[in-house]
Amino acid sequence: MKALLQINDLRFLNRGPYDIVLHEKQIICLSGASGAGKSLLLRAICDLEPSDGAITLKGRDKNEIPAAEWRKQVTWLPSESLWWHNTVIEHFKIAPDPKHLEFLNLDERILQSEVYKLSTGEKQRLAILRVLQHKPQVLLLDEPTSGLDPENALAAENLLCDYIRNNSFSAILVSHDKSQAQRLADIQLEMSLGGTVKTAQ
Amino acid sequence: MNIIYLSSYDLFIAFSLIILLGLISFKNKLEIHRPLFIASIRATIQLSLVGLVLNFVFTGNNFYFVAGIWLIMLSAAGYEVMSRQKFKEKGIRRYSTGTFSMFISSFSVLLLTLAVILNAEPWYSPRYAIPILGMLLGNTMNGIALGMNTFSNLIKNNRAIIEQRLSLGETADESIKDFLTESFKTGMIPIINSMAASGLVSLPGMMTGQILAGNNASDAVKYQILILFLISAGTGFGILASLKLMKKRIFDSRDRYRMKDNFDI
Repeated sequence: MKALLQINDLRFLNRGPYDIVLHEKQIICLSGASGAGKSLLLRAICDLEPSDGAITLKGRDKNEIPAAEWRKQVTWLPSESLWWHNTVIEHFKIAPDPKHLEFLNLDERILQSEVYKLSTGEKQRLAILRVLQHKPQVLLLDEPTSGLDPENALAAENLLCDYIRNNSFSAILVSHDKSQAQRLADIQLEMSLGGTVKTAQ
Repeated sequence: MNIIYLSSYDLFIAFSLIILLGLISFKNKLEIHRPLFIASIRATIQLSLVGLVLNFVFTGNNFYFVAGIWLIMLSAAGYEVMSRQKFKEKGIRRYSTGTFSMFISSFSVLLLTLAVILNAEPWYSPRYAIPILGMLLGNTMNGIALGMNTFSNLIKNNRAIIEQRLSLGETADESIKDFLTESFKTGMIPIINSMAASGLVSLPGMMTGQILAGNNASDAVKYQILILFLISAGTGFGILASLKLMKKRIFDSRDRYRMKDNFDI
């Protein structure tokens, strides 16, 4: 297994240091109490939060890559998705794969609909497709299925899993759902309030 | 054409209306009499002093006097723009962003007008240079203050949207494009509306003044059109400059949203 994303001595906002290696096809699940800094860690990795230390993608340091390009490769999916244009399709520079829509039980016509008509669950599934549009190599997923019914949550899990395994990409997943963590994670890490990461039992 | 000169007695008749309004406010506890009197007295004193200074400068025709007055006018307008911002920039920038934008837009428009359109002799001729700059600053100030305030409000209140756009691989510029457009429009709409309505709904102040002072209405119209064009162009360039300056202070070199580093929010 080749290393895809390497995090060395990462520090931000008086937290850290964090050292994490993410291999191809690997999913790391982060757990920990609220306020332990799980979401902040994801923000720091996609470079929305200033940090010290090094993050490399396939050996290239993030500071060698233009910020927008880095975030296309190492993409953050926040727990609450926001929509700023009138219609769904305007949020896509590259239209989503019809097979992916079908996989998530979404009708293709939903792309033309106005955003205010979407349900929470529809928004969350569309947000997953929205982050996949630039084919990111590393997904930083912040509770990606928290607002979905069990059936759609499983569909979303499977889609993300297939995407990662088929393309030899990887993901860091923040989830409070223990059974989801067990289904998906190759490695489970627990963040404590002090800012350290341990391998969970 | 005869000009009707105003005596102090004429002005006192007008002031008696203010006194009447003040009395009504006092009796009904409308709490406006104090600020109303203070503002009336301030206006009288300030304008009288300005009249004295202008008379002195008009006869002197001295470039340094003119430049000195320009500087005072620009500083006052810059201070006004700053005081109208809800979220001010930190440090000297809270003052310099608006002032510099007005300097760039108003002075370039002023120089073009004096040297190319009016061919004033000398080019800094105070009879033209001071009132035109006053008109430019007074009007561009509103648009620039409005545009800047709208922009900082939008950026402050839409952090989550901006960061989601960044996380989808948009550059800093792309992520705030919509807010920039909206702020520019908001700043420009008042002057565009007043151009569109001028002559139909209201006679603009300068034209009214010229007509009251006995000038030919068609000549007054030409000056008014000139001023409207200058104000619109000056406002537009000024807003563009100020938003460009602010934009640089919202993101760091890695296109990260860092508004609180440079603004008091």
